[in-house]
Amino acid sequence: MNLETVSNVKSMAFGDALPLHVPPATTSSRRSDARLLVLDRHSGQFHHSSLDRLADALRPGDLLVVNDAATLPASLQAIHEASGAAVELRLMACLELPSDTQTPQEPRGWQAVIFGAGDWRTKTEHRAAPPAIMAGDVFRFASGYTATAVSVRPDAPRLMVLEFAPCPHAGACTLHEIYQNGRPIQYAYHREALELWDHQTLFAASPVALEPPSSAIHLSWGTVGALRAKGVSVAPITHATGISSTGDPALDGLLPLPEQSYIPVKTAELITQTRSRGGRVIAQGTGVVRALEDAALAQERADTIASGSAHLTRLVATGVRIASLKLSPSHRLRVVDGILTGMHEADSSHLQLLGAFVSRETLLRAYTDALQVGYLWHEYGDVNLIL
Amino acid sequence: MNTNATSESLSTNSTCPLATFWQGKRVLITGGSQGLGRALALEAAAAGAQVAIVARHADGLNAVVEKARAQVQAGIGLPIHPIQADVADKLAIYRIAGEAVGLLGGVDILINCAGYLGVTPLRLLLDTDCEDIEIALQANLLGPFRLAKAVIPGMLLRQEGLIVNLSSDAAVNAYPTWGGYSTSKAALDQLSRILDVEVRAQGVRVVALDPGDMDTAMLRAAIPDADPATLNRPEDVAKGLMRFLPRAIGLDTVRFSGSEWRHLLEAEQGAGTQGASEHAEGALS
Repeated sequence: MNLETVSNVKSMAFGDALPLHVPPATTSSRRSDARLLVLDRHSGQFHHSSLDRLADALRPGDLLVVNDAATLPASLQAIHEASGAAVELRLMACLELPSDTQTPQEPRGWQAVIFGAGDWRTKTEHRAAPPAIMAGDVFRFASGYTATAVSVRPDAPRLMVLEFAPCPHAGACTLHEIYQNGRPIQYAYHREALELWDHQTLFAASPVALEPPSSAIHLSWGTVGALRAKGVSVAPITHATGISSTGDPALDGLLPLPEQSYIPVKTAELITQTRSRGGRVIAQGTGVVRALEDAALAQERADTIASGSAHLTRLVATGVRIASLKLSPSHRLRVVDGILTGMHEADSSHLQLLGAFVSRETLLRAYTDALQVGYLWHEYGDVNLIL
Repeated sequence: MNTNATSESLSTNSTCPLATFWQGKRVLITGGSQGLGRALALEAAAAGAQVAIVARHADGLNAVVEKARAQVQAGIGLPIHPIQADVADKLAIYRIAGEAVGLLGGVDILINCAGYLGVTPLRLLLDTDCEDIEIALQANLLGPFRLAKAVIPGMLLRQEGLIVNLSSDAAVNAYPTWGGYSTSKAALDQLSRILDVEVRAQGVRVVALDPGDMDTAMLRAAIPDADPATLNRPEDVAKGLMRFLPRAIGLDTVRFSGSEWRHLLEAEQGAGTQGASEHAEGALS
C-alpha cells in the first residue's frame, strides 16, 4: 500500500505534532478492512480491533445513534459578475430566509464562503484570494442560473448569506443546480477527484450535509446486522455536518458554525429508554454528539419539575433544531456515553470535542500506538471507538 | 396470453381502504416520462402520493409534470417533481437519491421502470456485441441495484419501504433475439429475490413483476408489427398495479408473472379474501 505521510506542522494543544498516515486517494470507497481503535474512557486502556467487529465492543441494550444526512456536492464554480472573476463558492449551512418563495424543496438560502479561482487541488491555505464582495453581488453559474449575496459579514468578508434565484418555472432549481453542477467538497491531500458516490455514508438519506459525516464511511449493513443481533439498537437523527476548513485561520476560528439537526421523537424515546435501563448511548460521529448534547441542554432548560409523573422525562429536545453548542474538554456529557469517530488531526475542533470523552494524555497515548501499527488518518482512514 | 387489468381508477373509489395507501406516500419512479412509469406516476400523484420521476430528457419529464399540474388544477392529487438523470450512470445515482429525498422528504416506494431494450431491430445473441449486453446490464440490473442501495438506508432506518423492479416474460422464457434484455431481466429477478430475503425482516419488501405486454414505445421497438388489440394499455396496467402493490407487501412471493398478479387481484376482488395467495406459489418461478 502506497501511504503518504503528512507532517502536521501546526502546534497542537494536545502535544507534539503527529506525522499522519493518510490513506491513498484511490481507496475512497468503503473498506471492509477498516481498523477500530477501541479506547475505554474510564480506564484509559485501549486495544486494536476491526470495524466489522464493532459488535464485540458493545453490549446488549446499547444504542448507536447514527446520522442519516446525505452529503451535498457543495462546491460550486461561479463567475462573480461585478468583477468578472472566476470563484469557488462553498456552501456551509442551509439558512431560512425571510422569503415567501422558499420551500423545503427549494432550499434557496445558504451561508457560503467564497474562494478565489481554482478548486480543491490547491491546498486551502494556498488558494488565491477571492474578489471583494458586497451585498447585492450576483454570482452566475455555468447553467446561467444565479445566486445573490444577500449580506456579507463585516468581520469576515469571505462569509456571506447567499440566496439562489427564484426558479423561473415551478420546479426545484436550487437543489437541481447544486446536484447538476456542484462538486463534493474535498481537500488537497486526496489527489484524485472524489465523486458524490464516495461521500455518502451507509445511512445517507437527507441531503443536508456539506461534508460527509465520515465516521460511518466504512460501516456495512452486515456490521449493523451484527449489532442488532447482539441487541444493540440503531436509531437515526439528521445532522447537517458543516465544512471543516475555510482556508482562513480567522474564519476557521468561527467553526463549527451552528448546524441544523432533526431529532425524531422515536430516537429521543430510545435514548431515554436506553439510559434508564443502564444501556449506553454511542454517537456515530462528532456531529451527532453535538446535536444530542445541544438537545439535552435545551431539554434541561425547558424541564419543569416533574411532580409524581409515572412517565420518564425525555432527555433530549426533539424536532428541527439549531445546534450551536461548541463542545470542549470542559463540557459535561449529558446523554452521550461514547463516540464512534475517525482519527483526527491534532489541532482540529474535532479533537477539542473528544476532550469531553477522554483526557488529552490518554488519547495521545492511544493515537501514538495506533500510528505505530499503521492506522490511517482523515475521512477515509480507520475508526476510533471511545466508550 | 394477455389479460387486461381492471380499468377502474383508484382515485375515484374513495371508500376502498387501499385508496389511502398511496396518500402521502413518497414515490420515486424511474423511466417516468413514458410508458408504464409515466402512467404509474400520474396514477400515484392522482391518488395523493408525492411523486418524483426520473428520466433522461427534459421534454418528456416536463410533459408529465404538466399533465400532473392539470390534474391538480382539476382538484385531483399532487404535483409531480422531475429529476433529469440517467439511471445507467453510476455517478448520477446519489444525485438522483439526494434530489428525490430533498424534494419528497424521503423515499417510501422506489419503482424502477427505466429500461433499455437493446439495439433494435433485435438481433440474435450470436450477432449481439458483448458491449450491448453490458449496456443492458448497466441500465436494467445495476442501475436499479445502485438506486435501491441509495434509497434503502432511509427505509431500513424507518423499518418500512417497498422496492419494485420490472420483470418480463422474456426473463423466464427463451425468445430468440431477446438475449441482452432477457439476461438482464432474469438477473434482476434473482437480485430482487436475494435483496428481499436480506431486508424483509427489517420491514422492507422487494418485488419483481411482469406487467405483461403493453402498448408502449419499447414494445413497438421490439415487435413493430404487434397487434395493438392484444396489448394492454399502460394506463390500465398502472391502475391494476396501484391496487396490487399494497397487497404484495404482505405476500411471501418476490417475483410475479403477468398472470399471477392479475389473478391475485381478481380472486381477491371476487372472493373478498386473500386466500388466492397460494396461486402464486408453484406457478412460474
